Amino acid sequence: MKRRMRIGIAVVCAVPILSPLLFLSGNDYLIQAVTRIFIYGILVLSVEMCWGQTGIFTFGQAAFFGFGGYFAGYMAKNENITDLGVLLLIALVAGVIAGTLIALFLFSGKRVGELYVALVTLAISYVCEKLANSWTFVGSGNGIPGIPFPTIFGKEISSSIALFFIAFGLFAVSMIICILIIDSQLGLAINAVRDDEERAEFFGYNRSLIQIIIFIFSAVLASIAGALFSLSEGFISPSSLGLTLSTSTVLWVVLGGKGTFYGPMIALAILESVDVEMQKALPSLWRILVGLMLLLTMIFLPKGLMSLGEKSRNKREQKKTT
Amino acid sequence: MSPSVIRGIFDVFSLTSILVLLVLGMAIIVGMMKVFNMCQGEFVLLGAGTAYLSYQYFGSVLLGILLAPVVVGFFGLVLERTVIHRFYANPQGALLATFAIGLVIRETVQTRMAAQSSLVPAPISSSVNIGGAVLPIWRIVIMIVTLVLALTIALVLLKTSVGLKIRATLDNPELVASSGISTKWMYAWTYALGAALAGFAGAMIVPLQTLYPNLGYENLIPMFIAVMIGGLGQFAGPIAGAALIAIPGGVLSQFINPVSSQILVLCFAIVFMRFRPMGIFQRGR
Amino acid sequence: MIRLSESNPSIKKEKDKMNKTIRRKNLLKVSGITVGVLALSSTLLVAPSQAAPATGSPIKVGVLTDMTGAFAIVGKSNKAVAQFTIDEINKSGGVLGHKLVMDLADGGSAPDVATQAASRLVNQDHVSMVVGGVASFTRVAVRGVIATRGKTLYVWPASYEGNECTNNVWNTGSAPNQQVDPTVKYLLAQGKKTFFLAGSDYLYPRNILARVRQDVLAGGGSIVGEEYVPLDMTDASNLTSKVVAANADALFEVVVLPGTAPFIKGVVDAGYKGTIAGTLFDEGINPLIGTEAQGLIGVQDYYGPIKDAFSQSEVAKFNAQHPEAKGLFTSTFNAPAWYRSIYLWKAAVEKAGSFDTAKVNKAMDSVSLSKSIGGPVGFAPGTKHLKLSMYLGQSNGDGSETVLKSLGQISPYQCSAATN
Repeated sequence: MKRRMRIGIAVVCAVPILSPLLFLSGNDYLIQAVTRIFIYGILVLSVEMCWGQTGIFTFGQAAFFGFGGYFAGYMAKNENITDLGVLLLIALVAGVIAGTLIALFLFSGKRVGELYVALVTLAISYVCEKLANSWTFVGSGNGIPGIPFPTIFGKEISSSIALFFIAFGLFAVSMIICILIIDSQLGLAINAVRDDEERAEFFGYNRSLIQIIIFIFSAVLASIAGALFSLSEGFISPSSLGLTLSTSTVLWVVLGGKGTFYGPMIALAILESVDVEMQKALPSLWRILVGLMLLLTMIFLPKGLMSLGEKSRNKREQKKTT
Repeated sequence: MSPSVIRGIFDVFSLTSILVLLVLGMAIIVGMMKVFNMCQGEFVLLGAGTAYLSYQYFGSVLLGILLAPVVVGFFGLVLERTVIHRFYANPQGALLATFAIGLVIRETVQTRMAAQSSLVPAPISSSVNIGGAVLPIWRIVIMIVTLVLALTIALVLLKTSVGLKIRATLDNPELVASSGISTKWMYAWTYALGAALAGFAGAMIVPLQTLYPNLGYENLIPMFIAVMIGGLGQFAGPIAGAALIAIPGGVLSQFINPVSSQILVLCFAIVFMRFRPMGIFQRGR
Repeated sequence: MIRLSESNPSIKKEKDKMNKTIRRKNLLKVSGITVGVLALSSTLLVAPSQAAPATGSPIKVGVLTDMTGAFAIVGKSNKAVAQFTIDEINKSGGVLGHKLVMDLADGGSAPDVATQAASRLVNQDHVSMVVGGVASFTRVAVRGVIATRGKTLYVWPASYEGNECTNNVWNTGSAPNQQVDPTVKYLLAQGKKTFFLAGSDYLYPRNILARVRQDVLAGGGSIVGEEYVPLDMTDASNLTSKVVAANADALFEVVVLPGTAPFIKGVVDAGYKGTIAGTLFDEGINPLIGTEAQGLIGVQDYYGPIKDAFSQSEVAKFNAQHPEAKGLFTSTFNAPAWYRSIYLWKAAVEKAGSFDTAKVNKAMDSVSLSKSIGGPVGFAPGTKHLKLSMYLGQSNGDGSETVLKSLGQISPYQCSAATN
């Protein structure tokens, strides 16, 4: 088994072992915070797969996240469909459809530049937020509050611990699937497309098809994450579609290290946990600090936090050989 | 012509001139320098803020309008020398770094602002009556200033030696460097010019709205799309792009609600760009 | 694939070195993730759950308002008023012998931030009750977390569009009829026959203008136009032209911040000569509009110059104790409602003899205050809203207000008795 998979399994085992510590505190607010981290973790995975592994600079992933969230939330609240399996399936299908449409638009035919993709996905996220804000059908500025708890086989899942494990479970499954993809022949292909589109084409890879498949896959991941979000938080609003979340996701990936697979998730975990405390203490200053962190990372550590270890290791290697 | 039709046509021209004015700075930085400057909106914000502060402390908005390009231009100069120049070969990095800068500026302004929206009165707040339609003079001033400014810059870039040096530096820096011109400072001053123009636009426009932290950020995407429609690589392109976005948008707003019309226009623009990218976004450039 | 490494010894050495490096990277990654998870768990252990407060121990009052974001200025006022009220109550002995302590949470002017803030107050800090929210989207977002899932009393202290009848939620701001009815009545009495309605496009303005429409038509007037503009739109030239063209006798506007000032300025500067009325004018908003605020008509539950000795002395005390919020004690910033909310809750706790939510909830329905900001107030039984003393006011160009008429106590038309 390759190392990436080994680490993945380790994480999947560690969390259930460590989580009783969390549950003992009886603090629902904090349990919810960690649940949220797992949900965002799926979103981060989607960007890491799309951008870090395949080189598609998707700057508007929140659009799919919010899309899934709104779909699930609307169905649960207004159409009384609360079965978890059904709702996730709906989110999956929604993700496939939206992802396919946009992927076909972007990747079939002539190559477009990475930055065009970034701008288009950014614009899509922007437009979706504006639409959701003004469309009364989906609650306009209010979003959809009061989304009921999901049910499994008719039984309502309302405890925060149960929701925690559902979120974690889906996160674990998504992570394992991603690892399997990356460690496979397909993984080699997508990395090839990332590293040099033109050369990959010369080698006979169907660049267009690969990009479309991965884009749809990450759209589905994001959409499912969004559905989970709206069901566990009980609430979805236009900000879950818009630039703020889109750019936070990119931020997590950049800070953690694009392409390192685990880096973005670590960055997410650390930033979100600190955020929980900072919201109480210095809300406005904290946001400025995050911006500064991103800036400093771009200048001094462009490969993200994971490269911190690399640099010191390289120095040590150099010392050894001289 | 009925007064509401006159006012309608006037509004379309007014909105167009506003977008063009906002895009002037972007035309230089994104269009010519090809830097994906995500903090361009914040330059506009800083210019608007200068106008506001000048009004607060010196009682004159006009002074603020004159100071704005200087203040924001200087800020742009410092920014270029410290951060921006590191990313000329790394457009992705530029996008993220400038985004981070924009975030920091926006949040700082948000923290420093006591009230979340502040009013800045126009230097000329009266209106003129034409054919029964009441037209604010300040909007007319903006139209004239925008036209003059755009033409002046175009002339400077095309006909003067300074303009020649700028265009040459952006096209072929090695050649320019070997002829003794400091490309480092050419880049710096060009970026500063783009910032100054944005600051000026912000100061001119804020009397029509209010000063609020997202002033620049909310216009960022439409501005980017205007620039990209027009085509990167020259100054005139983004201007044309701005007109192409604003005019249909303005006309549509007369009939359907402004948010929907903006969304429609943006969607059309995105699709249009896909099929005519004018060779801007291919890797290796 | 040819496995070169197996045949060539020096390549094998390189491969071993690489494996070592990989294993080290491995370790780094696993430890990184474990550290991340542990960091999480440790921050989570920091706040153990709280049992019910012991006798004499301080009672936490959850104060949820927007300290950052678009409504930060309102939040500043809310925080100061809450602190002022709590300090005053503590000075006179607290509530049932317990001192009150404020637990402030920032709603961030966004429903998702507000939801998390509310969850912290209810699920982590276990506050006795929550008061707050500036915009309706906050209330709608948090009421589930606080009142329904959290089973905690929630007091909503803002004048709004009405129809909030959720169990455990109490409204201390004015309902539409309390502001709209007297305003329209006044305009009709002044001889205004034609009305133009304008507002931001969301629930609050739409409900208010629906009430305006109802009152105007019932009073024999007519509506010549009704237009809505998107919330974040700041260029109102389109709407301005329509208003000026329609040239109605009166314009009833509910265009909210940040669009209020540019809109009104634009309309006045464009030559509109009719009377402008609205639900959001007072000393807090007038300065933002400037000289064009002259003549704006509205009805509020409190203005600076009202002839009520109690209000005058309380506000003077407030300004002295909270210089950082001087001048922010206004009706549009919900200051009177915040003051009322905490005192009414105190009265309900004392009536119920306990802090238990279910008991306090029952007692709230019939509490009243003989002395409060703006005059006496009390819940109209079964309506979950207050009978309020209202005042008709006119804005002045220098930012101040002139009180035209004291309207006495007005009952709210909200929720039937059956919903409780």
